[in-house]
Amino acid sequence: MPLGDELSAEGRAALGEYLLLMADDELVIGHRDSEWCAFAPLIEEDVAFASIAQDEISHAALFYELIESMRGLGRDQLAFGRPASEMRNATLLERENGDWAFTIARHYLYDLADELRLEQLAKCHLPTLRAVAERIRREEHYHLEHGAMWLVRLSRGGSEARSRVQAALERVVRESRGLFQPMAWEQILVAEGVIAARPSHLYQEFRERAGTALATCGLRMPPDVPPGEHPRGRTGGHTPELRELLQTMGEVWRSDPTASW
Amino acid sequence: MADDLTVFEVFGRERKGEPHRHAGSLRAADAQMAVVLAQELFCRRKEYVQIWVVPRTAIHWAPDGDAPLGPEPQRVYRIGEGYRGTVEKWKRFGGDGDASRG
Repeated sequence: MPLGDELSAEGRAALGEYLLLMADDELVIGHRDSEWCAFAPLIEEDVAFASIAQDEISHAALFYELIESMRGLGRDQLAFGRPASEMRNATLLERENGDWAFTIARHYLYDLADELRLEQLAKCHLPTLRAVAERIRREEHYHLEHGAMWLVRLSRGGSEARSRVQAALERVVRESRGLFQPMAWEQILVAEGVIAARPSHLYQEFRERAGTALATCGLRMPPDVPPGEHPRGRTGGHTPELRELLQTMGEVWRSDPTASW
Repeated sequence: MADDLTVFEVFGRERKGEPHRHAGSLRAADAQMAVVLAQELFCRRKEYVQIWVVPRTAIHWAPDGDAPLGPEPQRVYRIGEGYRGTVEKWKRFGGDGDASRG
């Protein structure tokens, strides 16, 4: 049975929105991670981080395929053929890489947020979605381990590393609220039993888990941002950094969208 | 950064019950970092159920030279190759050739 056939038309549309949001998050962070290839602090990390980037992009591909099965839009078209205003990713993920400390702070905190929504999806009553969530979680488990390993090392790596990682956390935490931007269709997914709670309501749990993880590294959890200052990438409120990213990422595909690679 | 790194040798076990075999080497700041990096470096194209990392300085070796270590070549009974003809002999003497039944 195709994904979402047991849902109402409204439920299927909401599920499509949620899948697109997760796919765009994974694609955009995967692309940013891939930009570190050949620039990471050591060659072993070049390989490791490039591999993580591939994982994220393959997770995006899984979600785009599910959308394809529901809506009939090709996954390359979905990934490369949309303008910035139609991308649903959180703004945090489109930001330029900056230094290694910012990259690691974002990598770790985004994966924490991702784990929260995957935990929820892994309990979903739609078997296809549950299987996809479980498969992705196996790899994300490793990503978290990798992020934590670096976070600990940067926090203990002397005063420069420490101050850079703390500064990065201030930026990342401020913008992480955008990962939990409330969306109108969330309630439909809850009502149809796809997920137990609105994804935007996972924010407090996210802050608690992040706070605990940072405390073990002796790092300070930056304060929450006031409502009204939240980034709104999920509804198209992106930064120029995303337009540039899309320009680069889709360059080859746009040269001949009908080509078979 | 490169000055603070240690070389680790990585050993991987492909299936439960099988021995760990040498997979390669990498540099890392410590063993925990080596374990994390080894998972991406060596588990990308091959699946392992477990990996070990060992600092290269922990490895000691017998002197190497031109002569092979171990038994002299004529003492074939000590090495597996010396039993290559066993199945044939077993058949000749009326067995069904299943040497594994001893």
